Amino acid sequence: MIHFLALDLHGLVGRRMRLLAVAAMLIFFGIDMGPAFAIPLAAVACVLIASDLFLMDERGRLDILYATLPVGRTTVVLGRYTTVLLEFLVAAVIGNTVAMLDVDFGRAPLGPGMLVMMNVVGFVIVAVGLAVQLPAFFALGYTKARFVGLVPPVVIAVAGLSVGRKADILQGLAAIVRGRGVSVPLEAAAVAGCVIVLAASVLAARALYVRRRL
Amino acid sequence: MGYAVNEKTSATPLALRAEGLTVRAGDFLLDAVDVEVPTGYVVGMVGPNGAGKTTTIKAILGMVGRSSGFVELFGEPASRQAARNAQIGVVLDRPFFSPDWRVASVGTRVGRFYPTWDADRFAGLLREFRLPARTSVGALSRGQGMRLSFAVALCHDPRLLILDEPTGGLDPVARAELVEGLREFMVDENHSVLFSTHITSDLDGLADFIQVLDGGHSTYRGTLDDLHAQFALVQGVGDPGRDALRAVLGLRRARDRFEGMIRVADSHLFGRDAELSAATTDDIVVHLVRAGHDNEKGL
Repeated sequence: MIHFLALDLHGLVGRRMRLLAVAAMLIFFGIDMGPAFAIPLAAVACVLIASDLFLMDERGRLDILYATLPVGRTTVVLGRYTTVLLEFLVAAVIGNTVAMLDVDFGRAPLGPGMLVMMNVVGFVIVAVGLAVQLPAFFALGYTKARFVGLVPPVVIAVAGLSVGRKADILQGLAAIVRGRGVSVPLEAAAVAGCVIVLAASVLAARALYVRRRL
Repeated sequence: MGYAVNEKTSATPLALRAEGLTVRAGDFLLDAVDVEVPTGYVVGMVGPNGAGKTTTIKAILGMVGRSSGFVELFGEPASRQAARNAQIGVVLDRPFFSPDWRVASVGTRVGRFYPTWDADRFAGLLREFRLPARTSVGALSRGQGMRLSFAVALCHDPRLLILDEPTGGLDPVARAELVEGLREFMVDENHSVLFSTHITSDLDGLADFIQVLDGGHSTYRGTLDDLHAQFALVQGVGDPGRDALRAVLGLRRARDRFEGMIRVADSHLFGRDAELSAATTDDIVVHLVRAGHDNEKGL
């Protein structure tokens, strides 16, 4: 799988302009909305750009290439999920960095509870978003599945905007987090749930990709 | 039309054996097609567009699901893609590399998957094929893209090359270069080639065996020499008789003239007025396909 991962990550170099644009968007919104929001926004950005890999597959007929290489389709699926999760890790590092830098610019410091919760929220966004998107892309390819791929980002954006407009909800949430500190069982349960969702998504994607006509 | 490739090569192990390949794709049915490629030989697969050549090759490569049939490579079931693909090189009708990749980087990206990848040979082939190393794949001409695909297919030292319509859309020079490259590949007696094309002249002097596909069926399998020895073109004036006309494959009549193709064994059915001539591979494929269509129409 390491060879496929290297090939996939190599492809990210070709997307550097888009990644830079997404990073700039993160910084902008992070500064505008509050430092903690840079973290889930990084996750949203990750979900938004996940389809790029499948777009590149389609442009270069890379699914055909994968089918001629000495790697199985299971390896392709596992490698692609790993690539996207590595993207999320990078995005999370950027998001956390932006959040920290923003705090340094004179805002209220982020407590550990808020920081952990925002990272967990980010992971939930990525896990749910990818769990819906990736099986569709593996089953149908970019062109046919691109509208399915848009569903998670749109739902997340609408939900985010709805919540974001209700300042009292955010303040209440922040107060809860500040008040209770880090709730390890809750966050651990959320992370475990996401891992299960992602594992189910991998299995579904594999089953669909194995049956796909190339 | 039955034929056993092994009649000529009974002691030769098979590089590829596919039996009963059946694939349903919408209205199209690839119907129990058998393919055999003896080690050390070139098999040409010919037929009109939509005959099932690409589907057969995709079924062999596992790119489409089969409803029945099996594939063996070098005597082993080719069920595991990783093991199967390590031994074969594939060239399809268009390159399958990202248009953003530079030509030289294709070797780096693809080569890491093969322990036997020869980077020096890849660099040498780029020079030999006059491919600009720093140009992106998307900027290559059709002929250059095909040469790049061919170079990539060769550099992990495959034992079997599978090519699907590689010469379609190429100019005569590029086609000749590709055929010459295949001849060089076949210098090693352990190498084998399965080559689908609708440009049958590419197979003359290259293919040892030929398989004709039409409408998802295999209509002929045999040696190229047998193919030429077995069929002849016929044309004449008047009515040669019912038995003679029945023997004509792809019969066409205009006024009092008739023409078509016959088995040489049936030539005694025709009188002196009928004119027989040698059939090219193209002629034979056209008439076999035409005969199949006539049968479907009940003619």
